[in-house]
Amino acid sequence: MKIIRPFLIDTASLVSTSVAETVAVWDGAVTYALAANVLDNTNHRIFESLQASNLNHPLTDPLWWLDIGPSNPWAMFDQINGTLTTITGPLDFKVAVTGRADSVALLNLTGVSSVRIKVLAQSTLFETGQQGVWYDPSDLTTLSQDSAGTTPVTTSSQPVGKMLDLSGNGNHASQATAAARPTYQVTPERITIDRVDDRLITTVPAGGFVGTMVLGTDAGTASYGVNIPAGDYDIGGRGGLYFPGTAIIGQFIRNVALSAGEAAGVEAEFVARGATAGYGAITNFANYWRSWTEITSFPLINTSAGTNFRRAWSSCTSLTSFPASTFDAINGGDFTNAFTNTALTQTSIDNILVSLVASGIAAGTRVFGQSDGSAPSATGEAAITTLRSRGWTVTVTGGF
Amino acid sequence: MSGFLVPIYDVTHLLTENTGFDNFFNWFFEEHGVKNDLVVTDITPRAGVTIEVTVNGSGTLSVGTAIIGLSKDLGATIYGAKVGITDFSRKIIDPFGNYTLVERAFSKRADVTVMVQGPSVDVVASKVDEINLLLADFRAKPLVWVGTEQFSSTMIFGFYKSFDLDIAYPTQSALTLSIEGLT
Repeated sequence: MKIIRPFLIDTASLVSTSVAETVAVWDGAVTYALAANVLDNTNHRIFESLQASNLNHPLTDPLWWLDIGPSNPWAMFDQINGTLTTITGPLDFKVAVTGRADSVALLNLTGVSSVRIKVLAQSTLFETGQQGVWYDPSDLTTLSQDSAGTTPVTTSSQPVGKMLDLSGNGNHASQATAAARPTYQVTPERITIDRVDDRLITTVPAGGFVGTMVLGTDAGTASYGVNIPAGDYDIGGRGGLYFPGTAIIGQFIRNVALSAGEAAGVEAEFVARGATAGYGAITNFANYWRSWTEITSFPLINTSAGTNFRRAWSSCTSLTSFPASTFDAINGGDFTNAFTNTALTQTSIDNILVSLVASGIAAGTRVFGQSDGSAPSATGEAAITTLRSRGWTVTVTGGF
Repeated sequence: MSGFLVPIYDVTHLLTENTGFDNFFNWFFEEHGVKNDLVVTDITPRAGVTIEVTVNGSGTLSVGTAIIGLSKDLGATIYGAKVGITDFSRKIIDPFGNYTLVERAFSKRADVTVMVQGPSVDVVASKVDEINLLLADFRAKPLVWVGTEQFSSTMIFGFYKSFDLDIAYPTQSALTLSIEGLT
């Protein structure tokens, strides 16, 4: 036998509900007809007028008003099982619990096929004072139309001049130039950039950020190892131009690297908010990460639809680590200047070349370009020989 | 600090109930019932969380009671529990024997015996005392009672009419509860 001691759900603890009030709140200036219904918004109950010409009689007057039950959103939170909250489509509510709760009971359900229960906890990712940023355009309270943060963003298509940092570090991002402000859009909630000049600028504090960046965009979501020096940093297009996608659904940077599980959790959070999970649908990666000088290590992403990688990582001057097998399933081989001006290690350039061999691309554009960083080892050189036999033009550091 | 919320527990419970079927004829030709009560007591009990509940269904759906709370295990419900409903419908018979039936609400009720057990008499004594105080505290306050999660008929939102603690043996005491549901 278990008992569940109920936690009081009231206006203060009910964060949101998808059920709307349908009856208007009682107004002393309105004359109500016989049998008119009004809402007592304090106690969440519906009253019915007992007489015609009911003007300015308080709801406590039993000669004029009859309590006929709880209002629709609150019917399920009262103590009567028989009063139902009814809605078409999914019913979703959030309750902020004071103290602890380990149980949910839903009784007298009709027409219900499944119930999803989620427990949301304050993230611990910045709990011990780590530096970093967290931008979430789905939180409208963080967006302003101007860079001073005085005019809030209220609806889609409005410019975003300032986006507040949710990490608690106060690293807000803003854009003083009106023409270079991104635009807020909904479904999913995001800020779109034009890849011409749109970006928000945040000032990275002294010491910089050395850790992990998770970026969720309309094209894909991935976690990168980063080393961002103190000073101005572009949120959105690098220099306004280069960005993996056209919209930010969420961006997270922490000065201490995330564990794989933590990074996966943040990525899942972005995807839940509407970011595309992988880059598997992208064919044209041209200029995606170009000039992202802060990236030190690149994640394994899905490039299986990719054909064009022109300058995708060009001028990533800190990029040293690149995973194996990234290009095993690509559809085309245009890597013109893809890795010029990078700092790839020997293992990384070998990984890339071996993966290009594994892709089996032997038709269409077959160009690969790398400069700076390490020259490939004998493994990479063997891969280059194979690629050249398939018609590739390969340029690498060291001039093999 | 102003932070953000991340899910630490995310489970979807299906409500379709097929357990009444013990042969294929019933499976194919009987209506498939759907459970109308769901009680989940295994949520991570972390402090200061936000709990989000999404109730899915096609078309119009309704929820009679939604409760979030902290559970407590009183002991093992033993076989012999009795469940039923109290029907508040009107059944009026006229002088000619014709019934007029008016459907009204009903409430669930149950009579259960719970074994409060422990390794020693001291442990059982403290458990018995605690249950005695706890139930006294929750007199005339509605709680969710879960006799056993296997039988949803033993899940009742209501109050106890009476309880008796029978301190029967050194390491076993019997708690007899008479539970009355709310309509």
